[in-house]
Amino acid sequence: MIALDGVTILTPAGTPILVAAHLHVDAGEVYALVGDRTPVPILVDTLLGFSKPQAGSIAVSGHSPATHPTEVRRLVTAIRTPSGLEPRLTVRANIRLLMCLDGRMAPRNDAIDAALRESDLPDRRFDRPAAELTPFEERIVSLAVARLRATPILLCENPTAGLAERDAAGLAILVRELAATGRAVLITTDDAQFARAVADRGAVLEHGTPVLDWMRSELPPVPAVYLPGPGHGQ
Amino acid sequence: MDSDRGEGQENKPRSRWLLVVRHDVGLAFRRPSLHGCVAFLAILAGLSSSLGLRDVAAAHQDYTRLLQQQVEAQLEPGSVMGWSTDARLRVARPPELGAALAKGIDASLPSYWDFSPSGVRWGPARPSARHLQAGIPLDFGLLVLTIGGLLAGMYGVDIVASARATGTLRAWLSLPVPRALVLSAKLTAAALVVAYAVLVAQLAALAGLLTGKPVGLDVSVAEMLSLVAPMAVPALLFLCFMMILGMSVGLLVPSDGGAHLSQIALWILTALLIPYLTSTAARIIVPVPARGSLEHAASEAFATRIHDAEYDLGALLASRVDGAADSRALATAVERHRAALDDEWTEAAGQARLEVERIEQAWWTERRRQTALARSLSWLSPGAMLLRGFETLAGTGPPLAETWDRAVEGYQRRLNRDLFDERPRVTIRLPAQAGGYWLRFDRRRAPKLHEVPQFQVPRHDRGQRSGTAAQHMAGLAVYLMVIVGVASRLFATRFIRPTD
Repeated sequence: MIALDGVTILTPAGTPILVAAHLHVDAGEVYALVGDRTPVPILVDTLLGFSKPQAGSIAVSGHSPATHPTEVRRLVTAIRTPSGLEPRLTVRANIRLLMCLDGRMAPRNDAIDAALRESDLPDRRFDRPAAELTPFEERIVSLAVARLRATPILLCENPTAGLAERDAAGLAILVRELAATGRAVLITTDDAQFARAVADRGAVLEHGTPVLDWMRSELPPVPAVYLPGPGHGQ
Repeated sequence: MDSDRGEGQENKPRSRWLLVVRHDVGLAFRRPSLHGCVAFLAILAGLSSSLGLRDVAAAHQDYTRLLQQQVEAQLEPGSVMGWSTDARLRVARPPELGAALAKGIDASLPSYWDFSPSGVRWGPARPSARHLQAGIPLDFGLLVLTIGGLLAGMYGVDIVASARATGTLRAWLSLPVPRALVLSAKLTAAALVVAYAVLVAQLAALAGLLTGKPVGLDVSVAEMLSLVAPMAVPALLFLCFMMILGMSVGLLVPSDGGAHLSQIALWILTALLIPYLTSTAARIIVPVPARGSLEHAASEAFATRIHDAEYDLGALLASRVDGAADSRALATAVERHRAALDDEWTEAAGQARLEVERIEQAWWTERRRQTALARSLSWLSPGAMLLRGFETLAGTGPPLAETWDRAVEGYQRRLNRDLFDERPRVTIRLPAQAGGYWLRFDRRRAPKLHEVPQFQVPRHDRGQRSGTAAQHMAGLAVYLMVIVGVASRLFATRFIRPTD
């Protein structure tokens, strides 16, 4: 669903973010790009067609983001940092707004509530302003939007920024749940521990160049600290 | 937003556009700071128009006093001889009601004009109004330019800073929604917020004008409304320009503090410096001598010519009289040679008039060059265009001076033709060898005051005023379109920054 073929992405200042990268992410798979420079937004921006790679080609469900950005954005839900929720609107109003901007009719409250509950947001937070949400709850709301939009691809930009380890573990479980429904998930992060906990496969980047490809099955078990604690999200 | 309409149907782009507009306007109206700023602007608007109206009332009292003086002068018996300045021919200028909102040049124009054989004598400008504080020309136009411009610019910077901090725009653009739709909707929403501020400020200004009755100005609400309402257009165009300028600065400068400081610097340049520098620069580039020096030069030249003409008449008369003659014989000679003397006087008066007109023309040429330069330079600044637009709509702009200048010069020409150059009585100075007598030469019967041409107070054509103001508004609209283009470009290239 996501295919990068010899892709090089540099900042305008010439800093390499991704150099000659080849990767593909299939449906139902979670792929993590891990490196100290990968959390920058330019990676996801390029995948969404906001900027072009310096070399190589990108295909998202067969579409090039550079030439068909609208089609790509229709297929992709991007979970970004900051979350992009309007602080003064309630959680439900934020979701309704995003769904309407997506070109859909405003979803019913029960549909929104169901998506939020599936993502483990406590009911009491549904009608609170987004400004009151914790960073973890913001990610949960973004994941609920991904569920409602039912897009086949999920891009997560530095998803553990500002999260406690316990919350990161919870997020890993939620992301894997979404992947289990057939979505392809690409994560850009500098959190190797989170990447190990959530991804099926991944690559470690050094100065943008992939230096190590890894598979979940080849790695030792995730440390216990990344297991969700009892009563999490209640 | 709470409607239960089901899922899965497509929303048309137009409704998404409206959604963003409603969303942005709704959020803006929830901000107490917006209402605080608008209330602040409204209080100042009401205060400035109320004080401005009191200035107009004070000027009206001065005008009434001048009229009373003139009536008293006209009650004095006697004919109009046209030898020198005559207080009975004085023309007083009534103050403009629009000066309550935009002072313009109303306060600097002469409060009256006198007419003399050597040309128009400008009276002093009106005494400075009692309600001006520390010489600051506080009026509604200046308020929109300065306080309004600053607040609109800061609002524009805040829109971008807020979107950047919360990531809302980035999240929206990650959806399949056209960038142009988002930008146009956000600009429209911001313009609606600015329109709200303008509306409230105008209502406050109108309320300030309604306090006119207690100070002796009984003007109808409809008249005040017709004065205030058209000013919404330049105010809205200028404030939208400043707001989008602020957005552009916010897009260009990544740090909030830097963006605010840059916007303040641009505001100082756009709203404070350039509008006033244009007129100062015009005065420096094309200096025009003071009116007083012109009048003095014209008076000297005319007096010299007339003095020479009186001796020429004497020489002519002496040449027609044989040997020494007594005064009776000379008087008889004057009657006998009336036609020749009259022709000589007409020729001399014509020469003197040409000399005065040459001096005046040189002065007017420089003055018109200066005015034209100031007008051209004002196109360099939207702030200057706002002020000119306000002043023109208020009837206190350059067209006011042009109208009165035309009327006064026209009246002077009529008086020259009918009175000053056709002087009823002329002095004849005989040369010393002919006795050195001064003789009276009555050319014609001296006219009574009612026989002298009357001044026609110029009428302001509201349509022409609107046409002139439309030019300034068109200029503001061009500036607005340019800044929208710049903001769109910056939005496309800077908002989602590849340097992040």
